[in-house]
Amino acid sequence: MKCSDARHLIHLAAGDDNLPDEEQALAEHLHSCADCRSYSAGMTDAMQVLQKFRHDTTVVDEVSIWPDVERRIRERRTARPAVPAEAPDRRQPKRQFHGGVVALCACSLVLAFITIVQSLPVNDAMNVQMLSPDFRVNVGTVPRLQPGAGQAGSVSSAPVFVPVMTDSAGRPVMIPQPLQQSPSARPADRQTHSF
Amino acid sequence: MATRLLNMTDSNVESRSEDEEHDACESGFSAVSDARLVDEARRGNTDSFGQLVLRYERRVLRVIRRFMPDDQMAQDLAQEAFLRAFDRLEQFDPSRRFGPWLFRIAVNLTYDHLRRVRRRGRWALFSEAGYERPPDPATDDPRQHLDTSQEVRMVLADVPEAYRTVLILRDLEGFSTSEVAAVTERSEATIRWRLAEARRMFREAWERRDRAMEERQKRE
Ligand SMILES: [Zn+2]
Repeated sequence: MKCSDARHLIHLAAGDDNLPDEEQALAEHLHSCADCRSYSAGMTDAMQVLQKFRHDTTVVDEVSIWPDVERRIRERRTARPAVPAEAPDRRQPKRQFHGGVVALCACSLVLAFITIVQSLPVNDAMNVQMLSPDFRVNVGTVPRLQPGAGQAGSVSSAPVFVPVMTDSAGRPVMIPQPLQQSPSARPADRQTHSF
Repeated sequence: MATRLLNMTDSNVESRSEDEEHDACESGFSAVSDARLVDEARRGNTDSFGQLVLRYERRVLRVIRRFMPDDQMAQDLAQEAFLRAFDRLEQFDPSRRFGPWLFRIAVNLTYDHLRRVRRRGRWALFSEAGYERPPDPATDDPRQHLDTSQEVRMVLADVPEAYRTVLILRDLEGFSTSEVAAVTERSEATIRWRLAEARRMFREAWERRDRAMEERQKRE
């Protein structure tokens, strides 16, 4: 037996928790190992401290807590109307109305509805359809900030494409872009579209 | 293996006198099984639950007091444990023993309380009161004024919860390993392993405390 295994059995032996064969194996090891014998003696001392503490603690208060517990049970019963004892099956928990679950379902339905509506052709009267990228019109360039390595960044130009839509007769339709055409926007950000 | 199997009911608590035992048996108090009392309590018979309280209260109180020195708080927690047990009687599995189930409730409640106290203590460190209170040189090291019981309690507090529970139930309260396994809902093999580790941890902590005391005495 290794000393580490013997130590484990020594801890158990301190409270008579070894099986008979374990006890036998430990005894044989202790017979031949002085270190473990010394360790076993130390364990006995520690257990004696615990045993002393075991007998130290006594329940001083001899008064039963049942009257207080009973009073609190009665108070709870008066606060909640009691269910008759002869109908124990009726004491099953009632089905509760979970407002949160209903609200969550309603939100999900609204979101699903909005998603479906957005995926449909919005304006049937104008029959607006998005053109392929080949029909995009280059309306100029816009400065773009490109971050430099450890520097403030450099400014370059990048072409700006605006998608063109047509109505049912194939005539181009202006897409309203109020933010880009806002007078408060900086001149570099402002784009004008001429078709 | 020598067995130290103790009945979990209060009737076997060492401090109870033989006369009390005799009276209890005479009145038929101990004759009614826990299972029957539980069954009657579940049907709404509060008196039957009262008998269970009388049967277990001292033992429950003793176990709780192993974890905390405050008698009044231990009483409150014991009451709370029985109230919670009463509220949850419907959830109790009648094929199992009532005792371990009750002690599990009591131990869990006690740990919940200790955790709350510990959290409050951490908050107090950041509160103004924590800063304003100057360290008192006379009581700088609280261990100077502790008796052995208090010292053991402090050393036990250093043992991790899972191991401390096993150590307290087995070595201080005399539960058998199978009873500890039932209370903690772990296998007996796990309990045996934890018990060995818990004893090792306690021994090491106690020896550290011994060395610290020796060094202090040398300085003085
Ligand atoms: Zn050895």
